[in-house]
Amino acid sequence: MSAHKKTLFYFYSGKGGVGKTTMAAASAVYFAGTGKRTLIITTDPASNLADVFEQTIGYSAVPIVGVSNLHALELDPDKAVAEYKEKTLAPLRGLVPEESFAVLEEQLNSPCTAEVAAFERFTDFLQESDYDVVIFDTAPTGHTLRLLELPVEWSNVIENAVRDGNAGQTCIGPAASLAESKGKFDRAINAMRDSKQTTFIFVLRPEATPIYEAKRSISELTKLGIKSQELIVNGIYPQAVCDNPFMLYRYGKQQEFLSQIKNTFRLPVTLVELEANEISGRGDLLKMGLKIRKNPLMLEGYTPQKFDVSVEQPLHDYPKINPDIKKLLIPQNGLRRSIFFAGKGGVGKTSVAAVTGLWLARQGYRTLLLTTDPASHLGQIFEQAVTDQPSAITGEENLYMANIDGVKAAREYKDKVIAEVKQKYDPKRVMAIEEELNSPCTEEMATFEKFIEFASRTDFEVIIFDTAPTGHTLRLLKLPVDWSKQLEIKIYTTTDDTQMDIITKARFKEVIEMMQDVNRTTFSFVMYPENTPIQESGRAMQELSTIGVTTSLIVANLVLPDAILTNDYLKQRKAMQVKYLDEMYKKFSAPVIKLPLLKDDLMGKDMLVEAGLMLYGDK
Amino acid sequence: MKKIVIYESAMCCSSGVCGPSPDKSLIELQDTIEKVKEMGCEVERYSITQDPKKFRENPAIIKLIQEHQVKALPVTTYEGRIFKVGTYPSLDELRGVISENRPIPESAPPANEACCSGQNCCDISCGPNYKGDLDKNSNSRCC
Repeated sequence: MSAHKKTLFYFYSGKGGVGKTTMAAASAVYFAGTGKRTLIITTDPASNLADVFEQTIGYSAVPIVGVSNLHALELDPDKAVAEYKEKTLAPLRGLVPEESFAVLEEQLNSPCTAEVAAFERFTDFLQESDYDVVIFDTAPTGHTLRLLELPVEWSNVIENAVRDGNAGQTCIGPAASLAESKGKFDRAINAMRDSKQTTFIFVLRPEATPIYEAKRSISELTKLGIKSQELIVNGIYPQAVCDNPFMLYRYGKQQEFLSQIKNTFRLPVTLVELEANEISGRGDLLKMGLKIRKNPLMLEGYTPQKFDVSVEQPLHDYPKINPDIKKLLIPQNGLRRSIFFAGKGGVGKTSVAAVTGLWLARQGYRTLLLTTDPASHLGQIFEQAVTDQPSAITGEENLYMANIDGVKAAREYKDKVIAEVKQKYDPKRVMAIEEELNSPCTEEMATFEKFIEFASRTDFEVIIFDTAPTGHTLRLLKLPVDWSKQLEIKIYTTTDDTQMDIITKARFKEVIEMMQDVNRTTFSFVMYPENTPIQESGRAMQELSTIGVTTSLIVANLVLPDAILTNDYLKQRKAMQVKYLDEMYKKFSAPVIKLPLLKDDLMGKDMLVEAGLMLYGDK
Repeated sequence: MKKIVIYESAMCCSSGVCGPSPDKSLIELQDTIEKVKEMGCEVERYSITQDPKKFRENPAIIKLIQEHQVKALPVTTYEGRIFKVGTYPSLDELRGVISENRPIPESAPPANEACCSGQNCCDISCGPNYKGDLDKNSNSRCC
């Protein structure tokens, strides 16, 4: 090939809240500083990249003020859809009457279009370009894995459609005219699989669940043929600041996880210590960039220490049960209560959901904990398997849990449709339909169907929804509204379908009304008292209010207990938290309740009960 | 080879199985197309949101949409001439035009005027299977 040096791709991935965006931005500033033309792209629909650079970033690459050679871009799915619509409908503009044009635009708002549009745009950036380095700051793991799978899946869909020559349509266009796209997807796949060109960096904290998630991701990526992988362990306490038993205990735990990481992964691992203050501004980013790319502290030469200390959770004022808060949690007027826990990745949504579930179940309410997050660790918290059917939690009379498994849901949906068509059509037709059902859109469709199914259940008094990180949750919650609109504009071909759609629409309407009714639904945001989670949650609340959903509770997690502030570093961190807690009180109209930093990760029922008392009272 | 073209409204995939509810008539249509192909007739399908250029290239289709909005879709043509508007053709209807050489209206749009003044219209577009109401503001529903 040519002498032109290939563009290098770096993906920063990991569970939410581990510092992906900071690490990605820090490397970007570092590469730009070495004279490389660098582009940083976020694929997270609820991105914090603009917050990190403290400037507006748009849908097309903008220069980062004060850093030469660096451009940034947000792969906003809404904008991707708008662009896709514009491109698609341009040939009809002026030819088709306005009324029809509006209908077509609305039809292209189909949820399937959003996934397709964002993904198309993503593969655009995996091509050769003028940039020396392209850095992807990705959405939390589950959805990123999905995004990376898509080029392979779509490439197959196109190949099959073309091969069968059945004048087929795929969700991304007529099969016949997709050869060009297939080339693009294949080039993206090849670039991702070339270990000289693409590196995947998993950012994690030295805790149980991120380690588990990194393991899972690495095996998934390896399956996709993506081999070049590295780890960054972020948020390690500097030993010097752990001068009280509580912090020393937590330090010891971290060290244990570090040796676990050392024994588990045969990959380069970079260690990054927790700073007293937030990383803010270009100076901080460059410092961090030098730390992780130029002179990294590697786990290889590091010997994790062993501590054998035990410690009690520092004294905590257990709040009295607040009747106003309790009213938000228990069913009113015999109607089922739905509680949604949403927020940025890694803020403790699943933990708080589990705490709340057990608290309510122990008060006698038949409660279902449902996770919609493909990467949830709900099962680990209760130390038992979670499936797509509600299963009783051992030893609890009133507590059940279940998950929405997109892959399984898609399979079921497929089986259901196939069973229906098998009775009516010959095997050849059934096969063609089966192939069409292999479209990646089916999974989103099926996941959503499951969500509606659970949301319509009446056999529980309380359902607690542990949701996926913000961006994807907003999409899921807006789907009933979007699909209702799609059904409204659908052009009917038989009366049979009309009947079916009326029923479907009624179901959607029921769920929409449930989510909008504050007497039945409590929407809650979990965050830790720092800038980015507050900004992100604020934006999400705004967006939810546009579909009539009100936020009525805020949970501040990981608040440092006063009893452990034995040195300046810890005092400085607490001062920062206090500043942001104040901001939360001012910014949000919903009540704020606090959960302190606990000595261990929230696992097992004893800790959940204890945390329930700390969060809701009473003792 | 004889050619049938179906101009369709927006859809995700040919069978409609990837929408909010699978559309039985679309699945049946695929079956119909299969049989028509076996009769030695070529079939092409264009969706307005995916092949807008094909719509643009056919003034008769654009004219139908201009007159009746996208409710005119799907529109089916045989050998370039429109013979079914507003609903998908049945297998019998397609068999009719292909093998029995049933007459096709000469002029393109079997729109309202054609419907209510012409002779052929009720044979095809407005025939017994015609349930659509192309123009709700008009009282000229003839069949």
